Amino acid sequence: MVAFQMSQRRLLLIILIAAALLLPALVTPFILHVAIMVGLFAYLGSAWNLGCGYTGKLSWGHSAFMGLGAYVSTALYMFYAVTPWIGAIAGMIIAAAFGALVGVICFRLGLKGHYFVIATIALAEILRVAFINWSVVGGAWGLLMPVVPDSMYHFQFHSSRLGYYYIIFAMLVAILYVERRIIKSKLGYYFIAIKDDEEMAESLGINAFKYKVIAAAISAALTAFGGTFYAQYVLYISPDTVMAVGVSTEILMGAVVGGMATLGGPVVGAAIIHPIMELSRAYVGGRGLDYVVAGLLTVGVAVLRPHGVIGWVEKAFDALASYLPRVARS
Amino acid sequence: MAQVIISSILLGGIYALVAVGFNLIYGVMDVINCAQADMMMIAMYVTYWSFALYGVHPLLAIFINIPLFFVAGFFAQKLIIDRLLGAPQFIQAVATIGMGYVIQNVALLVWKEDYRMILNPYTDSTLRFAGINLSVPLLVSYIGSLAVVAALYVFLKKTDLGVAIRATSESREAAALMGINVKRVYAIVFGVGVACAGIAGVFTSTFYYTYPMVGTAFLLKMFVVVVVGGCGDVLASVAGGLTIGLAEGIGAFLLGPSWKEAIYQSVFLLVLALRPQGIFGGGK
Amino acid sequence: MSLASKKAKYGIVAIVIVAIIVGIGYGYVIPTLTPKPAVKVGVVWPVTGAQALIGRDQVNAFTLVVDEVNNAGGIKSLGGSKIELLVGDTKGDPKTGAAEAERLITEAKVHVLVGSYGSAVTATTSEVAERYGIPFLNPDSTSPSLHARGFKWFFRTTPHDELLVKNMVDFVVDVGKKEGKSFKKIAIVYENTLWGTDSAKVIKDYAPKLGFEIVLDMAYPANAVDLSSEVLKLKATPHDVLMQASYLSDAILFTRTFKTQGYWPRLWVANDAGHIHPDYVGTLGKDAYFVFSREVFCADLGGGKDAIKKANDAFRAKYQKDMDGTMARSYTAATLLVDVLERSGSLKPDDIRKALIATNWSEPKVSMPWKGIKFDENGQNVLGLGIITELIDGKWRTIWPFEVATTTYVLSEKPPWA
Repeated sequence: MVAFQMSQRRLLLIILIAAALLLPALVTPFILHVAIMVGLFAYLGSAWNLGCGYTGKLSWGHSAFMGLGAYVSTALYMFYAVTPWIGAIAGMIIAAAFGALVGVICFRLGLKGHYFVIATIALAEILRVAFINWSVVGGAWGLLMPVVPDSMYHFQFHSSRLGYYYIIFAMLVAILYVERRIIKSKLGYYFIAIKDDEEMAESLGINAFKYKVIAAAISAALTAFGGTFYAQYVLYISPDTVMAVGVSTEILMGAVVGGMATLGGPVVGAAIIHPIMELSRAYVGGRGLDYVVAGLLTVGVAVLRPHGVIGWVEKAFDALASYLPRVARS
Repeated sequence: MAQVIISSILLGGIYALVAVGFNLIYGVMDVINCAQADMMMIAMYVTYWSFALYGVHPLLAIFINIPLFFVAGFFAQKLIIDRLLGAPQFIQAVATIGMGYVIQNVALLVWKEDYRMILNPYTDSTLRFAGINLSVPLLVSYIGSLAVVAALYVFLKKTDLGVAIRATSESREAAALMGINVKRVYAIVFGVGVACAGIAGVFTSTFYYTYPMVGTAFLLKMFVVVVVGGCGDVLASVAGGLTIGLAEGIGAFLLGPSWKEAIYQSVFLLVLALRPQGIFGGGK
Repeated sequence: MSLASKKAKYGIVAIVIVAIIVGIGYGYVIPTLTPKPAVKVGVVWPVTGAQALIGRDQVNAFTLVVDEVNNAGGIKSLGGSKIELLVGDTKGDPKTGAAEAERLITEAKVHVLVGSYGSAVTATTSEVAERYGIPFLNPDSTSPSLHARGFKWFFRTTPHDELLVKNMVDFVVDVGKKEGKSFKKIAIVYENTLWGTDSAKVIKDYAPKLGFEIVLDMAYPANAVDLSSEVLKLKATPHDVLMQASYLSDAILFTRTFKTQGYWPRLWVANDAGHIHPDYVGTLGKDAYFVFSREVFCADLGGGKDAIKKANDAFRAKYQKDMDGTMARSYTAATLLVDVLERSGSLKPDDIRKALIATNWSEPKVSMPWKGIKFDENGQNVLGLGIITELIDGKWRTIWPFEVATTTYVLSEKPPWA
């Protein structure tokens, strides 16, 4: 006799995932665009979270990695006709190297707290200015990608954007899976130990420096892949659109509002902030109201729920799940 | 070349002015106020409108701004910042960025995007001697910022309230034990910090144009000045400002303006590498 | 579960279902049933953000034409249908512009799209239109590459930088001949984002071919706090001509720094944008005089051409200022669109496109100093022209080409503040 019992929470999760997969059929292309943006920033926020939320080393320069990924894959595609999928891998490697470099510089110097944060901003800015002055990749103009018919090789799916939606969905699931595995592994324990008390961790024999750099490199690589996706979606990149401080802010805002060092935090955060901003821009019309809303949200969250709204969301999730029947089969 | 150096020094003084309020708040309360530059933006608007609507000479607007912004800062601290103090510092920073967004975009809603500039004989005047051209508003702003820093320094060192503030910044528990009303100190400090932004706004509006996003132009630089000079140290703002001003001005002249940003960011990293607590920093 | 709470549960579910039905009804059914105006035109411009002043003015100029047509009975060939104007805000950002374009096309169901000022933004917004097969009219982006993408649905009325920036150099050549002086050394100063860099590139490519020497190639960070170093560099480098590409705020700051540092270029040609914006002379007053700018439009040409006079008078009546090149091109695009819709007689994209391709406007019809409007196979208007204007006595005057000039240029040895 085999008893199979699915908890209500798992059932709710399956329902939500099914709804997400069916979403494109139910909404207008504009809402689909919003959903893709949510997915992208949930992904980027998770990548940031992996490197920063769990280790406590909070970078405000992640746009550098996103930009590197975008530029490497785009340049390889436009100049050497390399498929962006492979270009993305190249981008990830280069970003990982740069991330490790940033880590080595900052951690060797023993930068802590806000010094570290400002240093990451500075390094990202230097990269941005360097790209502005580098005419090979278009300098300030950036790179404009030609539109091609839908194709997996060219990583473009413009007739309906469905391809983008499912790819980012897959990316998000993948990164959450990777995140979960890392956190539950030894590596994850080292990260959290470093975050809680670095000196104590060191005295226990953990080479904090090595693991912090590893965290930076992993986070950078994953962010870079998001950069490639962005490049393929918007088809235009420039130092100011993919390497600016504002982009770094957008990346980490979701994670901070949702809840750092949690799996669902960046997803929840992105799902709250981005639709509100896009919709308030589109329907309440211009005048910067979307930023006012985003600003009020962050202040509100910081005051009421500094560790992120994930706690509330989890409670709501559980409450919703309790209405579902228990599935049992024997 | 002498002209380049002098112009750069003047510029550095301005940066110091913007940074000094931030440094005060950070030094005492450990709060990173990312909205500092946006508050300066509001101050610039106040100065502009008093000039445009009532003909008030921009420098006289100091007397409007100091009380106005002190009160605003005082209550802002009580209502918002105080509630943030329990949160991790990073969250505080993100929250003040949020505040900055709100301030910027409300200004945008109300005053629109037009660039406003105060044009009167004062703002146009130039001092010329020995082949050097000095913009008078810039010079006055420079002297003004030095005066503000000096005044703050004296205030902190010599007055009773100043001593209380310094005690609180060293240890809030010890200060509370000594009978100091810590909450009140925090509110006052934030008020003073915001008032500094108010003063900075007055001076900046005499030589620069006012628009809702002007804060963003100053914010990043302000951070760099703060760190280079020394976090939390009021006097250090001057050192930081001068260093960055010189690096930028001379660098731009020799290497080309497009590299301006990279130059001062590199100076910043150099300082971080060699002397992380800043040139004057006593450690914090 | 007790009976009472079971009832409560069902009650809540019932309420939720009713709410959903009402919501759907309100959101979808009712709007579908109410009659709507027939012609939807979407405009995507930077209505907020750094270029908001320009974006707003463009929308204003366009609206002027739309209101006039609607008041006169709408589009006759479509049974008197009125034009409904829908505005998308690009914020000057390519990604946002594309999202807005998509929203206008797929949700608001516009029949035509117009935009988007900044060339990078136009690149992405027009790409969206191309994907959906919606005609895209570009009145104001001048990057040369925009019409070379092999697009079917992209139509650009404005001449592009290859022509316009060359005008700047050609003008200097002509002035040199007239004055009998040589203006061989050029200093280029430009803001280091895409537009400035593009303008500088054209000058750098073209001027040496005509015997000029580029002695200073200075890119500066836009929205700088202080420009003393830049001006000092200019003073330190001997040159005859200053060519500048700056947006409004930098233009103002530069001129003020010129004044402080006592710098005055022998011949100063600006590339449109900042210097021609009404707020430039509005803010600087007398200090702004004697700058030359390459332009596409000047209000004083109304003296010679009725279409221009009519357009500018209408704009001036409503907004108390003259149009500049950007507003004028927006206005002209609107008039063209009305004509296209009339000739098309249908709202199907293919028919509108055919009408666009068939456009053949003669000179008197265009409210611009152009020879007319006619699109080549890439969608580029080949009859466009540029002019050079000068700010004399507070008003912009057309001074080049000399054949269409309304007055003679003034070369001032001394700065206007002396």
